[in-house]
Amino acid sequence: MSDAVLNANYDAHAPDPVFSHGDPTPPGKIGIWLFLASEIMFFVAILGSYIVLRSGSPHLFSEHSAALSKPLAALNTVVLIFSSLTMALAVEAAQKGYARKVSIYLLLTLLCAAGFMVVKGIEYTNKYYHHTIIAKDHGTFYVYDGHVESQNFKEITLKGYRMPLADTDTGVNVHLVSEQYVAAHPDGISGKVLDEKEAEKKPAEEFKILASAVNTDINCLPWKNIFYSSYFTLTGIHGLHVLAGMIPLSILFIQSLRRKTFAHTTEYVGLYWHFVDLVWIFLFPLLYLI
Amino acid sequence: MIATPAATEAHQTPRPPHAVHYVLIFCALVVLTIVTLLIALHRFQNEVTNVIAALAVASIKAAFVALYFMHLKFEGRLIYVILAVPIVLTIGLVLSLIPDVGHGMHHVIYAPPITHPDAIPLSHY
Repeated sequence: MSDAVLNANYDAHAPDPVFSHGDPTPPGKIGIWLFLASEIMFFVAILGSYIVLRSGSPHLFSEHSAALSKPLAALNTVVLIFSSLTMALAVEAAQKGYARKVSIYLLLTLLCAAGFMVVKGIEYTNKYYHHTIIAKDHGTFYVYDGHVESQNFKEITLKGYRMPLADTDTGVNVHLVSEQYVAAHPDGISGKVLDEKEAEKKPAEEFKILASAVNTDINCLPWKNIFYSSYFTLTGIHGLHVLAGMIPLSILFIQSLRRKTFAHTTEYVGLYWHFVDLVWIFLFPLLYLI
Repeated sequence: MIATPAATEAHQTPRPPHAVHYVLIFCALVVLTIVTLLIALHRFQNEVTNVIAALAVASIKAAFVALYFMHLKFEGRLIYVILAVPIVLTIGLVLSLIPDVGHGMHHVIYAPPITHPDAIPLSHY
């Protein structure tokens, strides 16, 4: 058939499928924003649960959140903000078609994401080794709270604080005991109480605890108490989002090394990545600072 | 409806990048992070003031990220319509949580005791 016949047939056909919806926004962008809208609701739901739990036990939450590392969390905040900067620059470079720049900025974003996860890993490891132990020493029961430096079948070496227990101090709840509490009560539950600043200044001591003398031992993982359950749930879900974001970032990075840039896709991945940063901006003060 | 050439073009090639000073936004976010830390270190007497101050700074930071890094400032009406739904639902959720939060605050004024009075005496062990 000649071109004229083809064109005549084409004109006689029904109109093309509708790709436009009267708005210049690309469908992919609408899709990613709808996905982010559902993500907002997801995080609002778990943050709402956290706020309700916190309001029910404000003292427990503030005492235990004091044991989290603020410098590490602040470092992670800056790392994630910097990754947002490099991601925005990668999107800009992709829109201009500069493959080399896209590679550099995406690599920096990936390194920041990996750095964030490494710092998070250090924090989780610290919590794994943070123990609350009730053990007998020379006929007296003590509550120890601090970091287990080494452990074997015979002995536990713990760096932290301890407070003696009187025989009347029955049923000590290890789930409620915090490092701050033990440091503030050097003479026991009913002894003198140091104020917050005095307790903070008190240097941590090293204790050798006989394994056979241990009555109770718990570390600061989700089973410790409701604060740690919330902490691991919120940071864990956020961490999974960081890991998930690293997958499309890696694919785009590999493609950019092959001199291929995908302006729209890079923009959508960027939107997701900025959202992950945005969630952390709220988690940082809620978990570590207040 | 037949897609107009301009609309089709919009699907195939990205819009030209907006002139945003990303480095300046990054610097503003770092400064605000330091402000958040200073608020936490200062600690106001009233606990509610601490929470509101920390969340207010976090909201400003989030606005910077959304408006400039996520280009929300330059988006069309459709994206705002999509965003309006979770924002309205978020406000609804926060309002519906107020009774729960208020209830918790009334009942836990003092720190709970770390011991239980009816438990087995330590001398038992």
